[in-house]
Amino acid sequence: MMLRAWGKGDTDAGEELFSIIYDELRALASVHQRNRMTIGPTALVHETFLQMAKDKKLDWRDRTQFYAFTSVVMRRFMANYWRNKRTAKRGGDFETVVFDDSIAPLFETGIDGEALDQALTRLDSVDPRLSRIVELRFFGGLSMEETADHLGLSRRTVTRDWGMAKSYLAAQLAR
Amino acid sequence: MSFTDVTAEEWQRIRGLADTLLDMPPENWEAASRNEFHGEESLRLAALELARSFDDSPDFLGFQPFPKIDQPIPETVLSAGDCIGAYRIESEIGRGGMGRVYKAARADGAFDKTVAIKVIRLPGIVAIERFRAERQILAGLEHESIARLYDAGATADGALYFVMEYVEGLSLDTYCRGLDRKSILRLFHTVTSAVAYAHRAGVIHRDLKPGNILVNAAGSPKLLDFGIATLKSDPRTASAIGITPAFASPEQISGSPATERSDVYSLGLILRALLSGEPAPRDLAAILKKALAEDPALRYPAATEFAEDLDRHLKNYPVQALPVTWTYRLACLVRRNRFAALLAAALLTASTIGIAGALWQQRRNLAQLKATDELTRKVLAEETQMRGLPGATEIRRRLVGEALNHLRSVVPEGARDPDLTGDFADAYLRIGLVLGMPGAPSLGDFAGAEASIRRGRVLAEDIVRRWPQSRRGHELLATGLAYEEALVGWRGDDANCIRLGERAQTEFQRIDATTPDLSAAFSENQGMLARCYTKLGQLDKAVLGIRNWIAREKQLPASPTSDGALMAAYARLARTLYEAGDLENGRAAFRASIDLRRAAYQHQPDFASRVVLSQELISGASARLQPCREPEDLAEIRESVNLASQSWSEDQTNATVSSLLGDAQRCLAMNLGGNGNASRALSVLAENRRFLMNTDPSASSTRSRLAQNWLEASADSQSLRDWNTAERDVEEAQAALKKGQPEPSDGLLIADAWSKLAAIRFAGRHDQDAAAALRQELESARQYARAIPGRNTTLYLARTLDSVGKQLHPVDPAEAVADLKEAVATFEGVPSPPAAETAQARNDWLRAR
Repeated sequence: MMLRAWGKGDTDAGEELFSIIYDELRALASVHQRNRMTIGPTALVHETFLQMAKDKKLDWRDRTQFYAFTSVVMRRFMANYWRNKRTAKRGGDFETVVFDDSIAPLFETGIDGEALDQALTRLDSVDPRLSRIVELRFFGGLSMEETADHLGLSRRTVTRDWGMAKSYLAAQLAR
Repeated sequence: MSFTDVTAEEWQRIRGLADTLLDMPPENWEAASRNEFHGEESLRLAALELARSFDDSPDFLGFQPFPKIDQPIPETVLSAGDCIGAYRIESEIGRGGMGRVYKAARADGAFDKTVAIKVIRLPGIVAIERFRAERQILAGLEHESIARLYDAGATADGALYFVMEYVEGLSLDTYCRGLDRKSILRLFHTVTSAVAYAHRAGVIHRDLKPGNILVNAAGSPKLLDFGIATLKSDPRTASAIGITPAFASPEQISGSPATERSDVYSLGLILRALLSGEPAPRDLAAILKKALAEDPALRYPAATEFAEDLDRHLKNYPVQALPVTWTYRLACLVRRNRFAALLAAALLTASTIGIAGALWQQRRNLAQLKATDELTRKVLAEETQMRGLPGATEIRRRLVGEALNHLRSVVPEGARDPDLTGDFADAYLRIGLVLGMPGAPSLGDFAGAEASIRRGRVLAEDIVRRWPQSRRGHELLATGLAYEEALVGWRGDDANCIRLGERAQTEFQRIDATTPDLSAAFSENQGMLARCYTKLGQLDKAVLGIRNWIAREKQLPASPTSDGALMAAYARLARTLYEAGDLENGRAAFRASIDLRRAAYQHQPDFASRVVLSQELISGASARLQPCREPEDLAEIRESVNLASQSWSEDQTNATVSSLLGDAQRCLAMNLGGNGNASRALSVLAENRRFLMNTDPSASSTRSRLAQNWLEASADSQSLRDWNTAERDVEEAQAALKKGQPEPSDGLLIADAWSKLAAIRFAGRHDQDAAAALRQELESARQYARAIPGRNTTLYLARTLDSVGKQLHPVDPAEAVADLKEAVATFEGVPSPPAAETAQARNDWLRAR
């Protein structure tokens, strides 16, 4: 339900969904930590989404919205992770530490996730389609074809947009 | 101005121009853009910059994108005719919360087997990772009351399937309707023992209910779905999805992780349901109350303890669920054997009342001691009867411990009485046996066992010294020495093993051990003694001892125990003679061992006796100067291959059987290849390789078996004069050895690879290269002998020195003579050097000189 509302542009629904899924992910990470189970960050994130689908907190039927949502969520996760890292809020808050430790390998790719998030926000203000493509391709893991499919664009357009977006973001990040 | 500091409208214009530019070659960009954006040079430059930095490769600024998160997959539904693994679905036979169950049969018709296949759908990828680990554990559960898991895997669309034993029967509750309490309890005890077995293997069922326990036409229960609930569990709470609340424990319902104690609770609920309406006697009510305690800590810790208590109740022993009081235990003892217990009880009461009078006191004490002795022996005899019972180890320990405590409470240990001292010795020996004895059910405390047995043995020596006529003293001494010898020999103290073993042997011979218990202990003594002699290189003594052992076993009346001992004796004799280099007599001993095993197999053609027969056939064919190559062994090698593949088709998870089949196949190829059938040998080797890769390609034993296979193939290619293939095969062998963990025994194979290469290079007339390979072979053999010091590896080094020396002679005579001389010295340095081989090596050296 909430996913659909979010799809229709209800930003409050998006916020609520994100905080639910964020709590879910942190809970899962700390359970794994307590059980001394090692779980890859990818698996952890997958499990979170699948768990939510099972609990009917996410409606899976609309594939386009699902991928759009997961890519936004991943972007938010990464930005939060890098913000935590920068402000050194670690230590003390067990949940945050555990969560960050569990998820770190996924986000320690070398790109500052917070700066990337800000660059994407700027890009969104000048060319929203480009930032959508980056979200789907980079955070959602979709291929060029899948991205073209989901946005109803030609493969050529998506490839050209992708290249433009990369140039824009690279220049932003280099500043 | 950079294109990063622009408004949305400016960006659209910049990007529009860049788009146009990108459609033409870069050398035209400057000219094509010159007329755009009049007076707004900065925008034009930004567009040029954008076009120049443009890169539409799929990577993101050099970084991998995040993995895609997939949507959950829909349920897998199969219909008749669909295939899963090697099985074809016949029909759907059940449907549950997590998936469906189908009846299926082997699709390839390899053998006739109906199985049940459960297909379940699990959320997430973690589940599949967990599933892989769990599958290994579940496949290892082998119990007659647990439906076997034959295979498991994932379908193409990601569902998990379990191929399980197909069981036809009634659910436990339906079957028990109308049965009397005793029958229900016996049946339920079998179920609990099966769960206990799984608990000992570290597997929790988590979803025990009458519907998961089927009773077949023969009245034997089978537990289904073992451990599958584990896979279905929610990783956050470990509570199973779709478990049956009616039979779940309180902690499972509240979402806490399930433990062995949860299974105990479910079993308790099942038992209560089965006994519904009938008032339970005091013991049974106490057992149920303990199993069904709300607080898991108050329950039986695992099904093992539950099963043991049920067993005690069925046999009228004191149950653990009730507080142990002397009167309660006495009541149980009385129920078991009335007279001795009554006497002891009467005397104990008399002693508490306290009757005056010195004379009366003395007389009464004498009577009390006699009764104590009698009671102790009765209790100890009970222990003997319990030795064969599965899961009785802990009760045995307690029983003997209590007898010992009772003894101590009545009489001091150093009493001047042969009977009571004998009771003490007996109790200490028994405690040792329960604590730890290799090859027998025990608690695994081998150090504690040795200490207790030594104490018993010293007491027995005391009896023999003070009362030399006491037969029981000598029996206890012989048994004690043999137990101690077994423990000492098992931990590798060969010198003490021999010292104790020889004393035990003398005692056994003195008392003429004819009772089954003494005779079995004597056999163990002989087997262990021979092993320790062999390890210290005293082969003559070992052979003599085994021959005497065989002679003695042959005089005994035939029984399963003595037949088993005779087989063990011949097998040990064969191996000892082979080690001593007496191949001819070793052959005869193998013959005898094989014949006995074949007779045993024909008498009882079961899985276990088939496997040991197949093994002994291969061992016999391998114990030749040219292992596996004797032409007359071909028929028996084939027989072994057939027996092994039959066993393998019945149990593909059994590691012993799959290594056996692999070895038998290679032995067959060696025999064919060694007798002029190189091309047939090559096809057997190819089949062997496929088999090895199919079983467990990652296992370290597979790695060396694969290398051996390639080396043998190289020999066959050489005899077919296919030098290129032969060389490639050696390279395959070397490559196989490079994979995985190196092991000390690799040296043997590395040396063999060099020896094969040397032969190939000699054939190609590259004598210097061949000599280099021979030197490498010798170096590898030296490393091998250093890595695994011992008689066999030293002999191997001596043989290699001899063969390398002979081959090297035409190329480098001086080095060859040195090697041959070292060969002779090495042969002579081995304990009990093999005469014929040593003489031959000396001959080779003298001739080369």
